[in-house]
Amino acid sequence: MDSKNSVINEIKPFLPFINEEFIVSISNKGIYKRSVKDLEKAKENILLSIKDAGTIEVKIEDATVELNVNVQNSKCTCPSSSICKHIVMALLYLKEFYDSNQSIEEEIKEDEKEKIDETIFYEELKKLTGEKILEIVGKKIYNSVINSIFIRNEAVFEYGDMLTVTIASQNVKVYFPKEKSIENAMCSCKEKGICSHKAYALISYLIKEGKITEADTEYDKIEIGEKEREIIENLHAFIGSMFDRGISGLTGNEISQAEKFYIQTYGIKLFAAADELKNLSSELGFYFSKNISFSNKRLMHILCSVYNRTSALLIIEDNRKKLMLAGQRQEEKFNLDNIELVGLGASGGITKRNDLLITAYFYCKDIKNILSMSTLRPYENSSQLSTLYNMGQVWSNELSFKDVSVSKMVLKDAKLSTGKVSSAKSTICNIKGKTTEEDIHELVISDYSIIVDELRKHKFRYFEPYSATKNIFLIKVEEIKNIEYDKIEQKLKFDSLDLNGNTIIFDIKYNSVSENAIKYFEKNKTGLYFEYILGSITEKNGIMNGKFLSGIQGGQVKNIFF
Amino acid sequence: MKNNNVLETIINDTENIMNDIFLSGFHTVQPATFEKLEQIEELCRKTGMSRAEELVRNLRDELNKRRNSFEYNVEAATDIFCKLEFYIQNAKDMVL
Repeated sequence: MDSKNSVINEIKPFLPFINEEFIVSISNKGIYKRSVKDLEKAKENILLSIKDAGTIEVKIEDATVELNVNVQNSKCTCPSSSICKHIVMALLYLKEFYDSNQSIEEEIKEDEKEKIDETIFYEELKKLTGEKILEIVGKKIYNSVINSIFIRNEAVFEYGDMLTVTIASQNVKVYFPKEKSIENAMCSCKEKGICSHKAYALISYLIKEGKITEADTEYDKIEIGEKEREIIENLHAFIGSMFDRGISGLTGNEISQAEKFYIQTYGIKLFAAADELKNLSSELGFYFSKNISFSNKRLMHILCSVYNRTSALLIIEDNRKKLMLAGQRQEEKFNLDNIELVGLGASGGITKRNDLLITAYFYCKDIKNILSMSTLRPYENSSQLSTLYNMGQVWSNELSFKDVSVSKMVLKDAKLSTGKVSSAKSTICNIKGKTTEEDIHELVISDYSIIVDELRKHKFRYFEPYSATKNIFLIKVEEIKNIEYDKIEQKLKFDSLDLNGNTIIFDIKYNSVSENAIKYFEKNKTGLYFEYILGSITEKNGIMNGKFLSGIQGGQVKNIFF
Repeated sequence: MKNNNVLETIINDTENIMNDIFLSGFHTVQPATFEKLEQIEELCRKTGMSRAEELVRNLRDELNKRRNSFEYNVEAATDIFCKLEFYIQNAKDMVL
């Protein structure tokens, strides 16, 4: 065995890691308890030796453990591939050995205590810059994490023997030792390299230190060089030839050409143009397959929009404007680990293609937006509506639209795009109870004149991507009157009034799916039904019209379509 | 209100005529479409929509070249057509 002094010196760097909380976080409670118990029997026969600097060899039971200061890199000769009980026993033994031999060091320690300069610790963290993290984690994770942190920073920093960063919603802790903080950082997710949690903790640290600002997400510089110019010119020639021949002259080859241009524009990072070309390809697909969803106006707009966007990119000098026109890659928009949603109800309808459509609406507290989620089935009969509404089909826990539309919840790995949340199975939902009046407080609009201003904000945004929920509002209802069924238009109409007497004229168009909702209003043509109404509202010349989606009555969401 | 109605008419008519042109293609624009474009141009001039008037006139000229001249340039016609669509979409946001 090496001399006690040298062993004691080698043990010191390990000491911050030898505590129950840390060991449990990198192994588990069972292994920890077992190790404590087994160590009692085995400690008489343990041999310690120094292998290299920062590595101590511990012979324990039938195994040999090579303890590394980065505990997750420690090795054991037993068959376990992760942190085994031998490694934990070896760590616990180091602590016992140190404590029992501390007296030798005591005098030196006392002298050293005065000399300890706390400022020399975490040097690696102090020297860290945004560029360095960008290099380590890559642009995708970097931008996504910054985006996520600026929406809601969950990192809690605690300085002790180590810097412990707790990320509560992800249920992880990241540990940074005082020396070689990044190299020897450890995460309770047990991943050895720089995992997303370590990246989150490091970026959060830099934001705390003021070294990263929100603007740092924009690292791209859009350069329109020869290659880009050539692609855009070819794209313009393609669009020109389509305009020249007209819809009636299209041959079918245009779909593959649009796809080719999609790949090319994506390759030169013109993501918004690429998105439009993808839409162009599917719109052309609708045309050639004689699908009822085809709209020649939409096709014309897509072509003009791609043309105008790329033309502008050729002449604009300002990088910010170029970035706006180039757009962001879909996954860079929102890639939030955890988001809070509040269910605002659900509505049903039949599409032009005769599909049964159910849409649930949510308020996302993190991005302060209303989101929707839809499901479609070929329509056969009206009884399908309630089956589809009650069917477990959403997210990993297979929840129904009925459950999610009236509840508040936390989503893990949610996939969001403009105004929509995906029902993908990879998303984990944790329901936190029913939606209450308190949850919707910040969203409710009591003065309807605000809606006019909000709707006007979306005007003159030619290049703004289509959002399904930009005209959906939750309004406070002071009075409902003039409930009437218009037999000519086949619509139930009613007026909703705010405190100042501003009116929104709501309607529900009759079809076999909306029958329940219409009956609900017809039962009682006076009195107040809902305290709040969720509606899709449009405005023309100051007159507001709304499509009724759902309501809140007695503080609870009421889905009257089902 | 009356002026707004005229603007709405111009916007809707221009949108419809552009849609007709898109259906048939620049190569087979009907004489009636040219007449309609001329009417819209005149209406734009009377209401002071000088930019729209210029774009509609330029579009009419380019489409005329497609029928009667070797000087026709599809890129120029596309450029004007797309600019007019941009104008109409924004005008729609202003009026409707």
